[in-house]
Amino acid sequence: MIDPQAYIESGKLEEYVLGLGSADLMQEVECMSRVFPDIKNELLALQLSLEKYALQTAVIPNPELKTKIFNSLVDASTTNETQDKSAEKSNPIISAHTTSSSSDSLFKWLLALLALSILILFYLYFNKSSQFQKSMAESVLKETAALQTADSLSQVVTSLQSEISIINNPNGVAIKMAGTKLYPDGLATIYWDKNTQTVHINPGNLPVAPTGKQYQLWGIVDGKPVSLGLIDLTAANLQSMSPVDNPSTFAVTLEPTGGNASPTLDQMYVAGNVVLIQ
Amino acid sequence: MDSPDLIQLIQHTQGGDRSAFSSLYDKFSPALYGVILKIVRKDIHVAEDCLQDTFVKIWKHIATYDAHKGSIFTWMLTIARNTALDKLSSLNAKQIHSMDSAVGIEETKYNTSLNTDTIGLSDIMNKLDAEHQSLINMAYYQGMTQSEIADQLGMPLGTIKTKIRAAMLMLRNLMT
Repeated sequence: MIDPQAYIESGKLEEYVLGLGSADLMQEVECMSRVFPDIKNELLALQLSLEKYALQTAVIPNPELKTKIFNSLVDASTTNETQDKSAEKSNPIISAHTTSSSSDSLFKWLLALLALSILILFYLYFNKSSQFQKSMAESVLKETAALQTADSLSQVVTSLQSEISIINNPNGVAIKMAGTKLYPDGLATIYWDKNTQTVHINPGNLPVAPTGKQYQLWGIVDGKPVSLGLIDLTAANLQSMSPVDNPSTFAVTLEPTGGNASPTLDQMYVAGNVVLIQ
Repeated sequence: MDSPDLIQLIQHTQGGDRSAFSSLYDKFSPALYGVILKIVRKDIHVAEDCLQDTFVKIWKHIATYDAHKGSIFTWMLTIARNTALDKLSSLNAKQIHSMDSAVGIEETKYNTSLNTDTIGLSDIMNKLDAEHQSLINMAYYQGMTQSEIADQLGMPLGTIKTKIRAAMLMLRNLMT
């Protein structure tokens, strides 16, 4: 178990704020500060003292320079789109946002599947009747196939319906876990019910785990990581994980198969904070 | 945490509002310019270039600023510091040295001290002893790694690490 106080005293935070650290150290400190509030507070205090130090050597630049600089600016409107994208990407903590977009797309899926199943049934039905003169055995086979298709479609519909009920749960909080430096494009979503404490994960775009490795979900409760179980990337869209009471953060790390007792922080792929909107 | 007014300025700038960006410039350019001047060893032409590059980068990338990682000031300081250190390493030391004498006079022209921000400055600077101050300066303003500082001062790396941490704690206590 990592002791935040020992980490604070390691000198790494000072190296970080002075820009002395390697890229690895920078990533490590950012992960640690995301997970442990004490470390984050210490880091902010150190940054604040450097800010004040910088203020003491302030010099007003030549006023003409401002005009020159502002004339050289390219208007943001031309680059808005890319900026928006990068803003989204670089903002690792997008919390408790509305879930309408994801459920909208699920509804569309549902509708498409229903339409598809009706089409398939019609096709099979007409196909069957046009071949009515053919052998009875053949049409029985086709009917069975049609029923099986309808049956598997209805299973898909049922599972989608249960996913929609999780996503649209009025007590549910959706937490987007954004990628860390290790995997900047990463995105996975947690659906946490603040009443029943149940946790579901949509593993999003986590890459296939290498042999001998498995993703593990963690909830940070009172500054301590609690394992919420291993993630099966081959499972359905939403996976049920262990319930957790009052987590501040969710994070996914890559661990040896079977999981780990405590998270390997330099193997953190995605993380997101829980922000409850009152 | 940044104040609500400042957060609003940041958001407007993120939306492409030049007048909000102008306010951010007024608020932060003296501190950033001061840091840049220290890094480029008071070469005013290089410093002005760096300040321009810094604010062009801030304007271009402000959408990527993430308040969860730290204040806007720290974010801007990092950009200014990296811009100046990059510029410095791309210039050769001899050029800078020959410019030093030429800009000495010009520099004082706009070297207006910010009285509101610098109240108590001399006290604080005096309290931070010379050794701690120079360690912070070597790391922060000269962009030296801890190994380089250790080499320059002829001290073991472990000692430098301990001293830098002590210097930062000292600075932190003086600033709060």
